[in-house]
Amino acid sequence: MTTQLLALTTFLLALIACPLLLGIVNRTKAIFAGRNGPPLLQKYYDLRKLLGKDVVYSYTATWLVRACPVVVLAGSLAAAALTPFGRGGAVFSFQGDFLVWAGAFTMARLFMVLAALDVGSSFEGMGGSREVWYAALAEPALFLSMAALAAIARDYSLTGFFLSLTPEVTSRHLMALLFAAFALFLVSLAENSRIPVDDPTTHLELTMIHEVMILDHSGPDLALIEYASALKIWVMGALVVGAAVPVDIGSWWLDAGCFLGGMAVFAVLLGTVESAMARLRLTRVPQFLVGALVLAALSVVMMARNSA
Amino acid sequence: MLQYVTWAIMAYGVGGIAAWALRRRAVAASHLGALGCILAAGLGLYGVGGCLFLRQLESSRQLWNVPLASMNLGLDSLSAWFLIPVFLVGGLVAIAALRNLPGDYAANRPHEHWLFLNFTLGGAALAIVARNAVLFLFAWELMTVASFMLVENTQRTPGSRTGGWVYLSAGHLGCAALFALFALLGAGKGMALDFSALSATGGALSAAFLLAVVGFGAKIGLFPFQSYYPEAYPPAPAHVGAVLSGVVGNLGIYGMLRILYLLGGEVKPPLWWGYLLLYAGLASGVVGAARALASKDLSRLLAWSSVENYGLMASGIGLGLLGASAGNGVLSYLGFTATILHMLNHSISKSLLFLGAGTVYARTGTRSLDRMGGLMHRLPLTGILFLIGAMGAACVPPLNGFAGEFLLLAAAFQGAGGYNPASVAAATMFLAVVLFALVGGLAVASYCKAFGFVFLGNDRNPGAVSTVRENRRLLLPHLVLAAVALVFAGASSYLMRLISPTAETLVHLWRRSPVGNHDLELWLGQDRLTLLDSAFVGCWLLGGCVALVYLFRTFLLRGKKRDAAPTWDCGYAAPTNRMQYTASSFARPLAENLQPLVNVTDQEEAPRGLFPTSASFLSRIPLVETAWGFSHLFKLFARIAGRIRVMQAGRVQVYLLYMAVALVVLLLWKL
Repeated sequence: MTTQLLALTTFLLALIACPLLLGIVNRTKAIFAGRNGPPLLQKYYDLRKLLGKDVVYSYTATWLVRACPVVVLAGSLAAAALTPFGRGGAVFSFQGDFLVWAGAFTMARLFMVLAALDVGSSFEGMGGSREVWYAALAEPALFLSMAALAAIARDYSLTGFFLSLTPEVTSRHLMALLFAAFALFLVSLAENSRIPVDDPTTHLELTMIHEVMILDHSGPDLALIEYASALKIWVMGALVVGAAVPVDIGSWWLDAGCFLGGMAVFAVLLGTVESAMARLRLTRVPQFLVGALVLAALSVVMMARNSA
Repeated sequence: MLQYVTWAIMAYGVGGIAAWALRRRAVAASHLGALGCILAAGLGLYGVGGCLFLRQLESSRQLWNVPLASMNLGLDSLSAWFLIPVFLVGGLVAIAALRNLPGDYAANRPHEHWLFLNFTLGGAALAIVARNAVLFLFAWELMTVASFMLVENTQRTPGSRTGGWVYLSAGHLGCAALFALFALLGAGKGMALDFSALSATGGALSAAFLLAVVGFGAKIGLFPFQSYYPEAYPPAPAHVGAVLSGVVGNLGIYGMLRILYLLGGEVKPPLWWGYLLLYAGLASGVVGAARALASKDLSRLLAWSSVENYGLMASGIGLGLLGASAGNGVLSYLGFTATILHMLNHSISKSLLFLGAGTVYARTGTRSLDRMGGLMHRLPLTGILFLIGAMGAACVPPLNGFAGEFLLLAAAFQGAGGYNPASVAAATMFLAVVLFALVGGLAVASYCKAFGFVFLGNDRNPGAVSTVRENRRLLLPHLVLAAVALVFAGASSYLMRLISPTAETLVHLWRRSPVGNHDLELWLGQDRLTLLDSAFVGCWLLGGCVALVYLFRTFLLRGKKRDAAPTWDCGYAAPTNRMQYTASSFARPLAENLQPLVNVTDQEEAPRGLFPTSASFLSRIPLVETAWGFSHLFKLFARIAGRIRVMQAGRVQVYLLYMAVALVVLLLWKL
């Protein structure tokens, strides 16, 4: 019962804290650029502002545009319920839950793209095209990293992946875990539309991916989507941190502290990447994603070498 | 319960012949033909349900006055699972066709359409219950030829015959392999080639397996036979596509599984059997998904997606065989369960999609994805039903298709963990995970395109728009299929447990060998949530989250003003329909990445000079394989046939000479 309660606590913490992650990213970028930057809690202010607004829909739009925020947030929420934050385990955990986890994001993506096509814009279709393009290429890297983790853990649930990382397993498979974490990090850059795949701050419709798809959402609908994106970053970051920082001190509080520290480092890392590099040319992104796949394959190879 | 299925097959026969006999009265013929299908559906589904729930094995054997043949029929759970789509889809397609056929189609000999539809379905049902090689081949041929005639029935233009001819000839190449297969299995087995008497040993076993893969693989467009398969679809009426994809193709999967019953025994299957089917299935999965994405024609897109899905099913059988070879009962079980489950879900979703496509064609008068759009406003219910089918066929949770893909991936993961990680088998499993993921991503992209560019946005072809409103009474078959899809999605766990005994039978085909299946018994005996429940739990979790967030959004939006405005287009205030993104552009970047598989060919005349007078751009997707492989093969056949034709000179004297020579040779041989 207590483990369930603790899992629920970390889940609620994720729901509350996820917009803060973006604040840390933006603060890091501001420091690199020598600016003061927005306050850490800016995302919360944005969300509150959006929630207070009325909504506007396109003349062309059907119910899909209205369904999109619901399904997108539901996808992030379901994935969050399946993700172990730290070592406490997830709210729901069962055999093969990581496939449902990926399926939740697929469902969200489908509706996001359909809503983009729904308004009949000349640009949003372009964003949708890129979204499915990159997602189709990112999926293999994601699943192969998962397969490496499953083979290391000899378990088929996300909670099981991380619970089985005892110090002995970790030291044996350290390289494999690091490669898997790196691959997952690259995938999370692509899936969350961050630099070098997409630029969340760009204001030119022609170059945008995620941002261009949500151009016709407004008010509370837009708030739901923005919040779902923040939660998605938190969820994917939790996987990266879980694989890269498999600490097991024993005390729940210390472990949770380590996890939160890891998430902060993840956010700083995101900000650093965004400050240090430009975004890739669109045609180069597939190579980036194949790179992630190669890293995942290396993880599998290291796992196989150390298991034999 | 077998007698109900037999009566159903008779209903198909009687319905078809009655429709043909009444060819002077089109309306009566159509109704009788449809009645045959519907009656058969009722009888057949009752019989199949009885077989599945009562778990009875039944067989009946009558003599048949044909050499090597007998009327040997049987109904076991494997047959029952494959009969469900035949009866269900067949009955619903008949209702849809009956309502949609009037129009210019009525002039096109409806009695022939109903004859061939009934015979296609009857042939499929008969092939599934046949337990004699000759009877099976008879039913198989009946189905192949009748489905070809069904496709060609509406064709009156010379150019559009090509696809059908390719379909027929490739179908018969496959059939030739099946003749060889049964000849090999039945060599020296006495009078009647009943399935129970067929067997092989040693090298013949592997040869038989190879022949089965070729013969049945040709039916499902298994790599490298994928190219002919979708060619039959674009010219055919959409509901015929539903029959081809939802019924006829399944027979290929059924045949492969049924042949395993004949090949199973003491000796474990060699590893390469599993590898062959797994890799061929994955290859057709990737090629099918890539081509579906690049297709410009809705029917062709759906047909290529069938190639992809049949590829996934074949790789499921491959995983099952690999598990059997390695003594990994759980892997084997998961692979076979995934195959049967995915077959059911795919049939339902794909026939729903084809019926939806039929409604779309009737309203728009075009099949080109680049000329559609905005139908959601005029056909709202059709749109929702099409979306249910699309999510099912793209294996997106929480719809029905997800469970099958989930089990396939789970099997690959299970296999990857079950082997020594440094072995070829484990590497294969990891590769399978990667390719399943790629196929899944491409399928989602294809169905975003299929649904998004047909139903969403504004109409891209304002000239040809009919303003007819949706006729909801015509959507009854769609509604039934969508309801079945939702039930299958919501009860996937229960469905898997119903399939379980069938899959266990397949796993135990090799049980007399030292393969221990204790791991499977232990695994199935667990009382915690197993992989069989995960897709079920996941679907309900996602559905629950959607409901929760829906309520939350309703709460957020209460009291808010809802306004309407033009779509945001970079600040441009007067966007037109032609400025929308098109389906071809949507798929273009991915298609370019997959160029070796898709073969996008551009012909471009760029504008030149300061005052360009002309410019043009044409992008096509010619089939690579028809350009090389098969056309060379058929040219070779044509050359050989040309030589042989000399013998058929048409002169009576020459024929008499043949007879005389034959007689003399026979006499000399007997002396």
